[in-house]
Amino acid sequence: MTRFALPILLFAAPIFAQTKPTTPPPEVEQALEALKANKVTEALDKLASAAKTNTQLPPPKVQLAQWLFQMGNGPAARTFIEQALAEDPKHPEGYLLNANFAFGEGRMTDAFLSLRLALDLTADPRWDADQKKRFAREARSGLVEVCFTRGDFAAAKEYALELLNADPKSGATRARLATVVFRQDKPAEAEKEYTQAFADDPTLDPPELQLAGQWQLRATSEADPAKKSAATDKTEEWLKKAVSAHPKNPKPAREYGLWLLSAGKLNAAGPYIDAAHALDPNGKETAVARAVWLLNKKDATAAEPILEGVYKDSPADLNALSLLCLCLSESSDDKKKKRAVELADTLVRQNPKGAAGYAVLGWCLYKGGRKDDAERALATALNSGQINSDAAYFAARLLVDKQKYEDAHKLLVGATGVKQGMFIYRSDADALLAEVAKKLPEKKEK
Amino acid sequence: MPAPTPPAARRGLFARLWDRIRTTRLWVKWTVSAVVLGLVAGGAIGVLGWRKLEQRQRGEQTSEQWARFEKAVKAGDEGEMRAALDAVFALSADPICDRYRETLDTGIAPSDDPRLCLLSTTLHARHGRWPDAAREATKRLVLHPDDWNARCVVALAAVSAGDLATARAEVERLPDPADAPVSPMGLVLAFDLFCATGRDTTPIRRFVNDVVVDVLGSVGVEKDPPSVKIDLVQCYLIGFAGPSGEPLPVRLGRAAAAVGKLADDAAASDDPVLLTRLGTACNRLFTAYDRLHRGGQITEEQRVGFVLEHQARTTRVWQRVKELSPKTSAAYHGLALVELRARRSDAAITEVRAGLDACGNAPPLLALYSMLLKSTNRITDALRTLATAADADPNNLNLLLLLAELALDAPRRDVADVALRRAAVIAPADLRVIRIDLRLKLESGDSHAALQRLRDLGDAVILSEPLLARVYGRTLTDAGLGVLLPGWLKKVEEKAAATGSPLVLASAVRGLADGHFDSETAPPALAVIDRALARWPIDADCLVARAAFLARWAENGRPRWEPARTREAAFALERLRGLAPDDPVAATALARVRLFGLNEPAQSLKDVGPLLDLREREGLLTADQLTLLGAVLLANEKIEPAMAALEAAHKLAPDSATTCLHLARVYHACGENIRGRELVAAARRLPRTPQDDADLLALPATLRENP
Repeated sequence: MTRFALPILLFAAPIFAQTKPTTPPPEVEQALEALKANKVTEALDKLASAAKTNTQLPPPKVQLAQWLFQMGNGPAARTFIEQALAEDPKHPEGYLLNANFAFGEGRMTDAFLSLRLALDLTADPRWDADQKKRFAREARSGLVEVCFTRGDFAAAKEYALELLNADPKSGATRARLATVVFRQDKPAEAEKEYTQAFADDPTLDPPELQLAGQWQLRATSEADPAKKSAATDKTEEWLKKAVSAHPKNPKPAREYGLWLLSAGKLNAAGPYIDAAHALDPNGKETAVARAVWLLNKKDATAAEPILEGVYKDSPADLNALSLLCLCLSESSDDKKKKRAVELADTLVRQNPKGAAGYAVLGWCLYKGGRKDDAERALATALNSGQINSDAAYFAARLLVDKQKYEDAHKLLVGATGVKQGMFIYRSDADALLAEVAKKLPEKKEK
Repeated sequence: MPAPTPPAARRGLFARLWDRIRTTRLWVKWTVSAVVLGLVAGGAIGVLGWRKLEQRQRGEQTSEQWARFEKAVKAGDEGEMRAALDAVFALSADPICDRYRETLDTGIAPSDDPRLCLLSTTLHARHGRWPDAAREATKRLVLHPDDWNARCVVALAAVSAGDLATARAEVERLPDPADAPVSPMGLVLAFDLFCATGRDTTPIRRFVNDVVVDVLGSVGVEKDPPSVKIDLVQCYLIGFAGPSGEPLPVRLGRAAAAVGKLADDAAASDDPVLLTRLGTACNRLFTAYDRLHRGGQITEEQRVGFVLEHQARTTRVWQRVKELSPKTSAAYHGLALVELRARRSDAAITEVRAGLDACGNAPPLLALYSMLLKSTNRITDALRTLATAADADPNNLNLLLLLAELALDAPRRDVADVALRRAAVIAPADLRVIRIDLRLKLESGDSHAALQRLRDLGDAVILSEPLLARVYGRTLTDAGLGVLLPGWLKKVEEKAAATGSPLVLASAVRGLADGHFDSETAPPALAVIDRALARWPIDADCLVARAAFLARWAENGRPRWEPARTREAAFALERLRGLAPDDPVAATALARVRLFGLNEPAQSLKDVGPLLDLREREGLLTADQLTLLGAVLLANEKIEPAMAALEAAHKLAPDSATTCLHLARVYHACGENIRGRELVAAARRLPRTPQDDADLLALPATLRENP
C-alpha cells in the first residue's frame, strides 16, 4: 500500500508460484545451467532424467516453460507449455502454469478455465495424496486470485474457504479471505479474519495495517467525494490503530509516516519515520521512507547517503534509484548533477515503458542545464498520459521558463489539487502556482 | 530801645522727661528703673516662653501626624498618608514631606533613604506590582541586608516572573525568623515563598507555633490595625500546614478563641480589599477547627461552637464586602463556600448565581458554579448555564474554556468541540486552548491527533511549556511510539541543563506516568529524574514527578506491586506529603499505594485526611477521589461513610468499573448481595484497569455469581 514518489510497475511475477521440492536433485540444477547456456536439449534431457527418479517433479517441458517465463522469454515458454499439455493433457501442472501465464497477461477467462481443469484433474488416481493436496491447493489459490480480479468475490470467497478447510491455520489464506470479505463490503468480518490470520501467522502484516490498506484502496478508487473522504478517514484511523497496537513493529509507523507525507503533513510524519528508523535502522524500506521524508523536508544532502546505500545494495530497486536521481539533481555539485542524469538514463533504459523514468530524466536534465533535452524527456512522459504530481510540476517548471503560463497553470492546478498522494515537490508546486497565477491575464481559481 | 529777648525755645518731650528724671529723687529713680526693667524682662520672657510653648505644641502635633502617617502606612491607606504629610508640612515645613510625597507619587524612593525605600516597597507590594516592589526592596537591602520583608518581596517578584532559581537564592538568604525582626506579613510572605520554592516550611511553622500564636490573645495586638490582625490570622493558619500525621501543637488549640476575636476585630474595617483577605482566611479557618478536633485538642462540642460562631462571622465579613464593593466576586464565592460548608448546596448555588448576576461571568464563580452543579448531579444544568453565558458573551475566552472543560467532564465531547473551536478562533495560540484541545483528543482516544497537534507547535515551544512537555511524553507512549522516549528524555535533560530549571523535565517525566505505562521505559525515565534531583534535591516538581512515576510503576510494572518498588513509591509519596500536607492529589496517591500495594488500610485511613477535610468542608471530590476514599473506609470497616462516598462516586461516574466493584463490596458487607452482583456484572462489561481485574478476582464468591 505504500505510495512512493514514482511508483514503478515491476514486471509481473507469477502470482501463484508453484511449490517446488525442497531440495531439487542435482540434475535439475544442471538443467537450469544448461538452459542458461542456451542448451535447451541438454536441459530437457537432464529434467527427464531427474523426473524418472522423482515423481514429485513437474513434467520437464512444464519446468522448462516456467524457467523461460521467468527469464522473460514468453514466446518460448508458451511453446513448451503447449507441447507439455499436448504430451500429457491430464497433468495439472501444465494447466497451472498455463493459468499463470494467462493471469500475467490479463486473460482471466483462460486462467479460470485452466485452473478449473487443473482442479478437476487432481482427482485422478495416478496422483498420491501429497500431489493431490498440492495441485488442489495451487489450483484453488489461483482461482481465488482470478475470481478476485474478475470481481467475483462470492466465488473467490468459496475457493478461499475450501483452502482453509484443508489448512485452517494458513494465515496467508485467511488474510486473502479477509480481503475478499472486505471487498464484499463487510469490514467487521474482514477485521475478524485478518485478526485470526495474524494470530495464526505473526509474520503477516498486522490486521490493522491490512485494513488500512484496504480502506486506502477503496479511497483511491472511490469516485464520490464524500465516500472518498470517509474512506480516507478510515485509512488513517486504522493506521493509527496499527501503530498503537504494534509499537515494536516498524512497518505500521513507517506506513503511517509515509501516509502523512502523502497528505502533505510533514511535521506530523516526523515522529513516525523516526520511530520506524529507531526500530529498524538497517531495513531498506525504512531507509527509503526516511530518505523520502528528508527529500520532502528539502534536505537532499541528508537523503543522499541513505539512497546511495540502498542503491548499492539493491541496484534493481527502481524506486530508490529514481529518488537518488532527484536527490543528486538538487545538489550544487555539477558532478553530482551529471551523475544524476546518467543514473536517470539507466532508469529509463531499465523500464522504457515507464513514464515516471522519463519524468525523472527530464528533471535531472533541467537541473543540469540541458533544457532542450529536458523538454523532450518530459514530453515523452506527458504523452504517456500517466504522469504523477511531481512530473506535472517538472513540466510546469519548464513551461514557466518558456513563459507558457496557461499550460503551466493547468498542470499545477491538477497536481496541487490531489490531496492524497506522494508529492515531494508539493511546496515548490504551491509556490510556483502562486507565481503563475499572478502572471495570468485574469485570476484563475484553483 | 534794645530788641526784646526772644522767649526760650520749648524743650522736647524726651528732654523734659529726662529733666524730670534727673531731678527726681534717687529712690524714685531706682524704683522706676526697677519697674521698667522688670516689665521689659517679663515681656521678653513671656514672648520666648510663648514661642517655646508653641514650638512644643507644634512638635507634639507633628509627632502625632507622623504617627498618623505610620499608621496609614501600616494600613496601606494612601489618602491618609498624604493627609498626614500635608499636616506635617503645615506644622513644620519639613522638606522630607516633599520626598515622601514624591515617593508616593512616583513609586520611586531615593536609594539613600531606607525608610522611603520601605514605603515604596510596601506600596507596590500591596498592589501586586512585584517588579516595582522588587526594585525598591533591592535598594533597601543595600542598606539593610537583613530586612526580612524586603528580601521576601524580591523573592516573590522572582516567583511571579517564573524565575524560581532567583527566588530560591533569595529565600536561602533569609535568616531563621527567630533571629530576625519579622512582621506577621513577612511571615505570611515567607511561608508562601517557601511553598513556591519547595523549601521545607518547618522553620516558619515552628516560629509561628512557638512565638506568634502566643501573641494572638495579647493586649498589644488589640491596638494593631486590621491589616496586621488579618496577617496574624493568616499566621495562625500557617501553624496547620505541617504533615497531616504530625500532631498539632497544643498552642494552636489554646489560641482558637483568640483568633476568632482577632477576626472579629479585623472585620470592623471598611476596606473591602482587607475584608476580602480576611474572608478568605476565614474560609480556611473552618478546616483548622476540623483538624483541632481530629487532633483531640477541642471536643466535638467545642468544634461545633466554633464553627457556628465562625459561620456567622465569615458570613458577616463577606456580606460587608458585598455592601462596600458589590461587584467583588470573591464575596459571593466566599459566601457560597460557607453555605457549602453548612451542607446547603442549594443556598450555595443561589449565592453563586447572585454573584454571576452582579459581577458578570467571573471565571472563579463560573468554575464554582459548574463544580456545584456537577457535584449535585446537575451537570446538564451547569452546561446549559455556561452555554447560555457563552452565547451571550461570545468573545469571552474564559467562558468558552470553562464550558469546554465542563463538557469534557460530562462527557459531552460534541459540546466541548464546539466551544473549543470558538475559543481557537479567538486565541489559537493560547496555552489553555491548546491544553483543552489536547485533552479532548486524548479523551477521545486519539493520541495520534494530540501528538500531531503538538508537533505543529514545534520542539522549542513544547520544551518551554511544562504542560505541553507533560502531554507530549504521554502521547508518545499512548501512540505506540515509546521507542522515541530516550531521544525525548535526552532533549528535556538538555533543556533543564541549559535553563537551570528542572520544571519542564519534571513535567515530561510526569507525563510518562499519565499514559500507557511501558516497563521498558521506566528505568531510563527514573534515571533522568534522579539525575535532576541530584542537582536540584528539593525541587518540588521533581519530587512530585518521581513519586507519581514510582507509584505508577509499582502498580503497573511486572509484577504488580512488587514489594521493593512499592515501598520506594510509598516513601517518595510520604516525602511529598511532607511538603504539601493538604494536597488531596498526593493524599490520594499515597493512600492508594498503601491500601492496594502495601495492604496497610489503617495507615491509608490516616493518609486520606485531606480528602476527608475537603469532603467535610466543601463536599467536592472527584469521582476517583470518592472511590478511593470509599475503598479506604471500607477496608477500615467504616461501612456507612464508605457507602456514602461510593454512592456519590457512582452518581458522578456510573461507567467506572472501579467504583462499581467497590460499591458492590460495600453492598455485600451490608448483606445486599443482589445489588452487589448487579454492579459486578456491570463492571465486567466496562473497561477495567489491572487493579480492577485483581479486585474482581478477589471478590467473594457470592458476588461473582450471575445476578
